[in-house]
Formats: sequence, structure tokens, C-alpha cells
Amino acid sequence: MELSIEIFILATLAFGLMAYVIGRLHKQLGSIMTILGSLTIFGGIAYLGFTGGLTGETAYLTFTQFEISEFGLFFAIIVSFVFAMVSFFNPFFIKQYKYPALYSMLFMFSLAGAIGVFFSSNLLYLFFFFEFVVWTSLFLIPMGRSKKAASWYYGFSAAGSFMLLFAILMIYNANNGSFHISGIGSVTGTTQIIVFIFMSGAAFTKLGAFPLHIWLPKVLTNAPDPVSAVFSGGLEKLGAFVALLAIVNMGGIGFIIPSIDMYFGQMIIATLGALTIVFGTLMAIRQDDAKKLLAYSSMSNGGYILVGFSMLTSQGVAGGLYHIVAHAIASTAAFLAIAAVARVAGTTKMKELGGIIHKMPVTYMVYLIAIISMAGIPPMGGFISKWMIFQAVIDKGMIFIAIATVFGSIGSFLYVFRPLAALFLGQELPQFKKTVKEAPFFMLLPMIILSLLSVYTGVLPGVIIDFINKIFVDMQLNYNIVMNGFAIEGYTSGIEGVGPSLLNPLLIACVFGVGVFVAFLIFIVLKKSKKIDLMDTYTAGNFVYTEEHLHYSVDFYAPLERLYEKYIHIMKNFYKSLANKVREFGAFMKYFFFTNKPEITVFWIVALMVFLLWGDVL
Amino acid sequence: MIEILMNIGFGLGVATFGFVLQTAMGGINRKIAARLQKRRGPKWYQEFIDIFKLLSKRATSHGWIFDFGVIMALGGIIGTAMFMPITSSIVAFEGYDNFFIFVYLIAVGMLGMAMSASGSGNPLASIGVMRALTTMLAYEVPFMVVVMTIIKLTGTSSLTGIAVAQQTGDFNWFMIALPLGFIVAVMSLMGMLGKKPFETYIAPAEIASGPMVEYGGKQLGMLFIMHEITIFIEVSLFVHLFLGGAETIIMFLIKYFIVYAVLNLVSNVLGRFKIDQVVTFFFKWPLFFAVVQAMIAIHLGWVI
Amino acid sequence: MSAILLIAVPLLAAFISILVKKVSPYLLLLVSLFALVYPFFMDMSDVIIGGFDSPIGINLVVNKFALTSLIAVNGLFFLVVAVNIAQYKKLSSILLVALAGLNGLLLTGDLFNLFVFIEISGIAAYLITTTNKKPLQTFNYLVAGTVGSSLYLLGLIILYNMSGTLNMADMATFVEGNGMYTLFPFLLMFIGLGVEAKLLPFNSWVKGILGHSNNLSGAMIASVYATAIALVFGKLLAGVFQIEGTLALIIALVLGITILAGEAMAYASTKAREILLYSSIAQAGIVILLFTVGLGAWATFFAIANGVSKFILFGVVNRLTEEVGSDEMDQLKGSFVNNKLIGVSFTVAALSILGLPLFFGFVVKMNSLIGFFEPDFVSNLPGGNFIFPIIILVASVIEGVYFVKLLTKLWYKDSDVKVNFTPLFKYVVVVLAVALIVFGLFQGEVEELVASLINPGGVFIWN
Repeated sequence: MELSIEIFILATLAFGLMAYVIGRLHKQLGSIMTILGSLTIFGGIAYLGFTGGLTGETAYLTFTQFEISEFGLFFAIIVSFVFAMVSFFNPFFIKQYKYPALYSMLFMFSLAGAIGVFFSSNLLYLFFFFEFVVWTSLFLIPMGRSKKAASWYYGFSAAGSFMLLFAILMIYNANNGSFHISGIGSVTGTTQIIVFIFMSGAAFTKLGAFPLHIWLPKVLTNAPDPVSAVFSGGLEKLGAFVALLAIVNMGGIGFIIPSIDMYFGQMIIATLGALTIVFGTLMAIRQDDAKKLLAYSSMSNGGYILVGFSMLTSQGVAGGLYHIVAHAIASTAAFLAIAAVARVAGTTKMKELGGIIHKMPVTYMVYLIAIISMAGIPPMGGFISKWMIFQAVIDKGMIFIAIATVFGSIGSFLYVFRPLAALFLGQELPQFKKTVKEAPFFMLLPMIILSLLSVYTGVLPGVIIDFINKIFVDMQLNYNIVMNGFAIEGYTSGIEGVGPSLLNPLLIACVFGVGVFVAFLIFIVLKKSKKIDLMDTYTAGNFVYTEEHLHYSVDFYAPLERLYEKYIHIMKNFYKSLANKVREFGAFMKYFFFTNKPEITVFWIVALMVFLLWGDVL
Repeated sequence: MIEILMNIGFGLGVATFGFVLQTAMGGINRKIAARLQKRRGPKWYQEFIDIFKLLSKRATSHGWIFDFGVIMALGGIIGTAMFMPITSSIVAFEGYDNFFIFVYLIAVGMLGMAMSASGSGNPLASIGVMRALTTMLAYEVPFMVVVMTIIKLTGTSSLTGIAVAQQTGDFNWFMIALPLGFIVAVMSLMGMLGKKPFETYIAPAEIASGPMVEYGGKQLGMLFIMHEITIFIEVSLFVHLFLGGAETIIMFLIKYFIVYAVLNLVSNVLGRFKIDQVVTFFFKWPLFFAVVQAMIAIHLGWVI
Repeated sequence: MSAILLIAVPLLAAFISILVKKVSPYLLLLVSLFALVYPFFMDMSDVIIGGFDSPIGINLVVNKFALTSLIAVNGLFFLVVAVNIAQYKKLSSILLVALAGLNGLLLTGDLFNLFVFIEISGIAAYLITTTNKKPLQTFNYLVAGTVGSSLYLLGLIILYNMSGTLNMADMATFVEGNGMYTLFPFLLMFIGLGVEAKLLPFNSWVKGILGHSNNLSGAMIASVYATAIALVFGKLLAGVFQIEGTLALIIALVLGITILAGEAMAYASTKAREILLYSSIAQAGIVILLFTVGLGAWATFFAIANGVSKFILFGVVNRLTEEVGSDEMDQLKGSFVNNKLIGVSFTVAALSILGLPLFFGFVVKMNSLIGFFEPDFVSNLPGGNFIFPIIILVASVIEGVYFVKLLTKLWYKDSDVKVNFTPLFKYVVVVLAVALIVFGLFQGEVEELVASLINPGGVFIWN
């Protein structure tokens, strides 16, 4: 079977419209349309993509052109999958929204835009879809908690997309008026540097990378819970897509730094990526809101993608691509798990929550698996990508980048554990004993699927590695990842008798399984323990009867936070003062030019005339 | 298939070996420390007695996550230990003893224990976990920088590979080749082992043993086993990375004993840091030395 | 059928309407409808008045550009009148004069005649703004407008003295050979028109007028007049003026500052009407800029798209203000919760101004920007080809932030603001919003339309 990609885009839009019309009649039915729609789209793209049935012909959207590229397909499958998974949550949250029908429609529209971005071969229409995603997703955000987040989002997104536009127009200019996507690679000289800077800027904004990250925590915290998942798992990946086009596709930019044998452009991207990791990690550690914590973790993971890409080696780029998959799956699952908790508990603030695990064990397991993957611990997908990125960074011998990656990796243990301890574990607070119950089946289903995939990507990386190799071929990059049976081959040492570094995720998973089995055996053969209440704990002789007093969840990492809390608002203050400067400039101009005094106008008229005459006569 | 089963059996053997070795070492070192303090000290097999006594006792449990965490902790650590080479040729899964497995798979065990401790509902346990994680953030970064330098130099992240590189003479033992890095690694190792001055997260008199506060009976016994194997992993890691690994099992035992005993002695004369002091300590000199070492070794190529 | 009817009929109707006051609103409606329909049936040939051939006599230039402008301006005029006439019956005669003036502006091919029409439409505008009930502001407008037209006249006199012609096409050929000497008169004329076109140092009247505008004056000045003046200004910039040397520097500075400061001022405002008026200052700057650098064809449509959007924005905001009693954003919050249709149209108009895809604004903004990047494009303003696109893009970012703020406040806050809009107004606004979407969707067709404005030589005003 063959279908054009435009059919998918049009179908997504049609599903959106249908969701709207039906949503007007019945809220839930409308949101169920989003499930049907995004599942259909995901299924269609994935099936046809793998069987080679997708074409780029246009019969209806004749103004633009599509091409089916492997990397477009890669991103489209991931993002539509994230949408499909999140859509299951829509019916359960739809009642909270001010405009339920609109929500369903815009949800589908953003998906349509994202697909458009990934397959456009005309850069102008790539931008068209890029902007389309911006404004459709824009109106989803204020349906959540705060309205301000939307304008932050728009400000940064607009800055990002206009940077992209400028780069695209520069390419257009340099390629004699052609908008074809292959033009990115053929620019040279100063234009190349400008294009690189601006495209990277666009990628940084979308990915929420330092120093253009301010919108990300705001949006992910305040957007409706499913939308946060979509942003973190799906729409953020548009940034990775642009990063792939810019950083990887354009190759080395600028001069070569001799001592480390890297291009200056690479170095800058890697450094900023490293800063993103460190900054995101430090900020995530100190958050009290679980969603905000995950938001900063998204940011820091975006940094890994950038670091991976900027290495421009097989391991690095493949690691970055693999991390996109792993993080999309894990962070979607984590956000969904938190959303499921928020739905019944009514808050995502960790200091107000505790002991949710006793009522929501499945959600807890989903969250656990997700954070294991996010922290890069085997046997989950995140481990493999981080391993490859580490390999690449070490191979390049970049110490400071290495410090950042390690710091982010260990730091992630700290912050992912935070919701685990404060929100799920600890004392079961009395206010949740009655009200909270496990999420319904249709919310558990996507979460379980995501968890299984997290494990799958962590155990059998072969399929994805093959896909990544195909992307390399498709992008005409000279990279390749060798699979040695079930193992991924790393770098080969120059030393005799030492084989290449191997990573066999299947083996690790099996050995881990054996370990757990042995531990379980030890546990089960020994005497059965007596079950006692949570309040029945060692209190050093005090009598404590309130659960809150035995629940350690406020200021969890206080001693650590104290070390850096002075410096955390630097970037935020920078943007705030930037906004203030604009406002002051505007107020000044208003004050200066818009008084009731025509003299000022006359003064300027005279001044301009004098200026002209001066210039011409003297 | 048979081969894999053999390997797995072998791996389990390594884990058991590690457990026995470290538990004995622990006992011996308690004896040494006691003699230094002019005490008689416990018998060298006292720790075995403790553990088996605990395992045989009926315990209390705070819910399924409390038990599940313990299983996950022990399972993760056993799994990690199974990859550990003892000598360059005695290794369960040849070629797959990647350094990163030890760093990250060990984390599963840690996570399991942390989870279980938090699940007990005791705030002291949570505080202990918090301190443990914070300490980890502190010591792991300088250590990893040094190890990355080694990996960069040898070009492999396989542990036996690194050991072989030192044995064949391509490099000196890295404790000599990278002296600054070695100092850093020693400090980091003390942090890993939770020895003074970095034992803030257990801090018996202060937070009632931290993570362990709620445990008793078989759970505590299993955590003890886990703890012993963890130390085995960490010390062997150090031996392979910096002391040129071992050609024979005797050499391994000797090196292992020296490392552990020296650290133990050092830690016995030191006091305890506060948790923020731990962080600032590691991020000051050890990290600085680690970076300097890496610069010298990688960019200047000065390796002794 | 001659184009002269477009000027003569409204003028005649204006006289009649003074005599028969009762039917004057209907007369106005009829005539403005006529002015909208008539251009479709008009002969496409220049009209010579008084029997003298150009360049000696006065002529009306009828070409595709004039036709496009006429349809757009008269269409907007008709809609504004149709929606508001019931409330402002007394103004019928004045509005007829305004119509005559505006049509004259767009048609005339004579520079002095242009001055006359500026004055006619200007006087009508002053009178329309009296309905704001802010006499001092209207007076300021009057003073500023008169100063502006006087400067224009002064410049024209100097030019006439040098060239001996008043005909635009003739003047254009004269200017080509004598660029150096014409800079000063051009500056005078630029300033003169700049007053009406809301360019920055000369536009102090705007805040007083639009900041207190009502249903009629807001839409009239911000949408109809702004479009007409922008197009006429564009006609002169693209067809007559030659910009070089210091004049180019001055114009570049004025336009750059107008665009950036306009957006910054809008960002600094909290009143809905002020936001819109400052934003329209910036938009005017962009349109004039496009004309100046020779991207006139897209500038034409930029102006039209902007006019349509501003009609919706000002219409809705003024109506809300009238009902709520304040135009502070915080007072208006949640206004759209109960007026979804109006809200959607408002949103479409705003998004179109921001240049977001699916809407007309995207098509014009993108194509205008592409114009700067055509391989053979050479900017006649200092700073190279790429400074102004960057300015436009930066401005768009600021613009986006305050528009999104406004939109989220109007949509997502809870409130009990309930405003009734007349069915007619709703209908008109929705139709315009749909038009913005339709033009946004059929990009290919729009591009053909624009291409047809330009003849092979690249000059599109005199074909």
C-alpha cells in the first residue's frame, strides 16, 4: 500500500476538526476522537514507514513538497507515538479545561504540524509547519494552571522560529532562490556560520537548552498535565530535529582548535549543551513541584542530545538519536504518571503529597521504570544512549564536557529519587487514604506500554540502532554503529589483545534478572516477616501520632541547595530585565513622543532637515 | 545455551567469592583496628555470624515496597558483581566487563535500597538516603573524570582491557602513571565505601544509622550481604583500574587486602564531615586535581 | 465608464445629503456600496481631466495597483459605515466627503491634486474624530495634520520650481536625472506624508485619537485611513521618489525606530486600545519600509491585510470598551468567554498580524521577507539587505508576546463580562476573519495576484 504523507497531515487535521465538532456535542467523545486520530496516524506512519509505503507526492497541498527521509520518519514515529499515548489521558482530563472541544482540536493540529515539519523538503514550509505547531500548542497551555506561561512560551518560541526563518532565508539567498532542504549543506563561508548560529539558536529554543530554556519549566509546570507530557516527549523533539539538521548535517563550522582537534562550532554547542545539563540538573534538584522537576530534567536531557550531536562521531550522534527515543518514552511515562497522581490528589507539589504508592502501585512502577531510564541506569533505554554519549565524549577527550555529563548523570539520581521518596513513598498521609485510588485501565494502558518500551529499548537496541544506521546512510554521513550480535561495539583500543568495548544490554538485563532471582530466592526461603504499620517506626523514644511529622519531604536536598541557591536566578533575571528594558524603552518613547506638545514633533522635523542639509552641503 | 548457563553460574560464583572475601576482610580489618586501639576486637569471622544470625531471625516489614526494594538492591548488586573480573583471565563474561556497567548497574542496587528505606516511612531513613545520594554526587564526579582519562588513554572501557594494558607494559600502573588521579581516586574510594570522613549518611549517633534504621532480621541481613558485595565491587574496581589488575588470584587477594586495609586505617583516625562539607570538599581539590591530571595526560600527553 | 465617478458621485451625494438629512445615511450606504462595486466595472484606462493631456493636465491613473487599493479601501470603508452608521447618522455627509477624498487619493496622478485630496480627506478625518469627544486631541490632530500637509506642499513647490511639472509620472522621469537636488523636497514630502502615515517622530497625534477612539473613528482611522495613506505613500515612494545619500539614512533611521519603538511602546502598554494603536504604528513602519526598498507589490497586500485585521481588532475592542467602560486589559479579561465567535475572529485577526501560518498575514509577511533575500535584491537603504529583516523579526517577537498576553487574558480568565454585539457586526467580523483564513490557505493564488501587479520591468505603479 502506498499513501502520501499529505494524506496523513490532512487526515490529522480532519480528525482535529471532527474532534472539535463532536467535542461541542459531547466533551469526552471529542477527546476520544483524539485517541482514534493519533493512534491511526501513528499506526499508519509507522506501518507504511517501515514497509516503504510512504510517498511525498502532493495532490492537495501543492504549494509545498514532501520527501520521505529516514530521519523524518524517525522523528515522526516517535512524536506521533507520544501523541497517541498521551491522547489516552485526554478523556480523563477533558473536564478540567475551559474549552474542551478546542483542546481536542488543537491537540490534533499540533500533531499535524509536527508531522509536516519532519517531512517537508521545502524549508519555507518546514517553517510554516514549525510556526503552525507553535500557535496551535500555544493555546493548549493556558488551559492549565497559569496564563503567563503562554506568553513566555510564545516569546521564546517566536524568537526561535524567527531565528530558523532567518537561517532559511539566508540559505535561500545563498542557493539562488531555492528552498530545498539539501541547501542547508551547500552554504559556505560567512553565510554558513550565520546559518549555523541561527539554526542552532532555533534548536536550542525548542529543546529548551541553556541559555534559552526559561520557557520550558514554566510551560511544563503550568500546562495541563497531558500537554506537559506532549511537550516533553514530543514537541520538544522538534528542537532535536532542527539540531540534527544544523549541527550534524552542516558538520564542522568555524576553525579547528588544534589541541582537541575539534571545530569551534562543535566546541560551542558542546559547551552550551554541558551547561544545559548542569543547570537543568541543579535546578531540578531543588524543585518542590514534581512537574517542574521533570521539566528541568527534560532540559538537562536535551543537553545530552546536544552534547551527543556536537561530538560529530558515530557514537555521539547515534547516542544523541538514541537518547531522543529513550527520553521521549521515559519522560512521557514520567509525566503521565505524575498526571495520574495529580488527577486524584489534585496537586503535584511534593510537600503536600506522600505515600501514594499504597493506593497507586502500578503508577508507581511506571514512574520507577521511567526514572530508571531517565537516570541512565540499566536495563532501560536511557543507559544505552548515555553510554554511547559517554564513549563519544571520552573519545574526544573533552574533560569539561565529561564533568558535565557525569554530573548530570549522577545528579539525575538525586532528582528523580525526590518524587519517588516524597510523593510515592514515605508516610501515607491521611487525606489521601480515602480519596486516592489507582488510575483507570485506559490510563494505565499507555503507561504500561511506555514502560515496556523503556525496557525493550534498554534490552534489545538492535532495531533502533539499525534505524539510526539507516539515517546515517540517508543523510550521507560517514557514521556507523556496529552491532556485534546483541552487543553494541564501542571504540577499539590500540592495545594488543584488547577487543573493542562492548555493551551487551541483553546480557546485562539477563544477569540483572538472575541477580534479582537469587535475591528473591534468599528472601523467600527465609522466615516470613511480620507486617507492621508505617507509623510503627523508630522515633528515638518520641511519641508521634501525625503522619506529616514522620514524612520527610520538604527541602529534601537542603544542605546541597544551600551551596548554590544564590546563583540560580541569573538567567531568569536576565530575561526579566530584558523584558523590562523593552518596556522601559517603550515607556520612554511614549513619554517622549506622545505628549500633548506638538513642539516635539516640530523639533524633530527641523532636526531631520538640518541633518539632511548638513550631510549634503558640508 | 549451556555456555551461557555456565557463565551465569560462574558469575554467581564470582559474586559469592566477593561476598566471602569482603566479609572476611571486614572481620580482619575490624580486628586490626581494634588492635591499634588496644582492644582485643571481635573474631575475624564475626561478620559471618552477624549476617547468618540476622538471616535466621523473624523480622518486621513495612509493606511490599520495603521488601521489594531489598530484593532489588541485593539483586542489582549480585548482578553487578557477576560482571567483575577477578584476574585478567578469571572473568565470567569476557569482553563485556564494561566500566560503565559497574557504575550504573550498581546504581540499581543503590536505588532499590533507597526506595526500600524511604518506603519504611521513617524520616531518618529518608535523611540518610538524601545524604547518601548527595555524597555520591560529590565523589563520583572527580572519580569519573580520572577513570575517563584512563579510558581515553587505553582506548577501551573494558575493565580487563584496562588491566591488561597495565600488565603488558603499554602503561605503568595507573597509580604511578597518573599520580594526581590516583590521589583523587583514593579519596573517592573512601567516599564510595562510606568510610570516615565521608560516612555522613550512616552517622550512627546522629541519624540512627540513616537508611538502615528500620531494618532487622532477614532484610537487614540481605542488606549486609549487599553492602559487603558493594565494597567488593568498588575495591576490585580500584585494583583493576589503578593497581594493574591481577594476573593471578593471589596477587588479586594481596592487592585487595592492601587497598582495603590502608583505607580502613586511614579512616580510623579521621572525624566525620558534615554533608555540605563533603560536597564542597570533593568539588574543590579532588575535582581540581582530576581535571589537572586529565589535562596533563590527554592534552599534553605526559603520562609517567 | 470613467473612474472620475468614484470621486464625483460621493461629492455630489455629500451635497445632496445636506439638503435631505433624513435619507443621508441610506445615501451614504448606497454610495459606499457603489464605490465598492464600481471598480470592478471600471475601464482600465487613465482619465484626463479638463481636456489637457498629461503631463499638463490633471489625470487619474487607473491600473491594477489603483484597482486593488480602491477595492480594499472602499470595501473596508463600506463595512465600517455599514456597521456603525446607525449610531452616527449625523456624520453621513462628512463620511461621503471622506470617501471622495480617499478615492481621489488613490486615483490621482498629479502631485498637487494629491495635496488637495489629502486636505479633503484630512478635514473629514478631523471631523470624524470629533465624535471621540476629546476636543483637545482632535485639535492636536488638526495641527499635526496641517503642519504635515504644509510641509508636503512646501516640498512640492520646490520640486515644481525645479522641474516645472506636477504630474507624477513626469516627475519620476525628471527625478531620475537629478537625484541629488531633489533630496530636500523629498524629505519635506516624506515628513508631510509621514505625519498621516504615523511614522515615529511625527505621529504624536495618534495616541490622542486612537487611544480614545470609538466604534466609528477607531476603525475608520486605524483601518481605512491607514490603509489608504499607506498605499498612497507607497505609490510615491515606489513611483516618484528617489532615495539616496543622507535621505536614505534618515528614512532608514525613521523606519527602523518606528518599527522597534512602536512594538516596544505597545509592549509597555496595558490598555487594549493603546496596544493596538502602537502596534499599528509599527505595522505602518513596516509597510512604508517595504515600499521604500522596492517590495511594493507585497507591501500593498501587507497594508491591506493589516487594514482588515485592524478593522476587526479596533472594532471589537472599541465595542468592549464602550460596554465595560474601560480599556484596561485587566478590566476586559474573560471578555471572550461569552462571545466565542467574536473572540475567534479577534484571535484570527491577531494571529494574522503576527504572521502565523494558515492566515493571510503569514503569506504577506513571509513573501515580503523573502523579497529581501532574493539573490538579485539590493536594498537602497543603508545597513545592507539583512538589517531590516532582522528588525522586522525582532519586532514580530515583541509583538507576539503582547498579543499573546492580550489573547490569553481575554480568553482564559474567568469573568462575567457580557457584551452584546449586533448581529451585523458579528457577521461582518466573521466574514473578514474567514477571508483572512481563505487568503492564508490559497497562497498560490495570492502569489499570482501579487505577481500580476508587477510588470516585467519591476516597476508596478505606472503600468
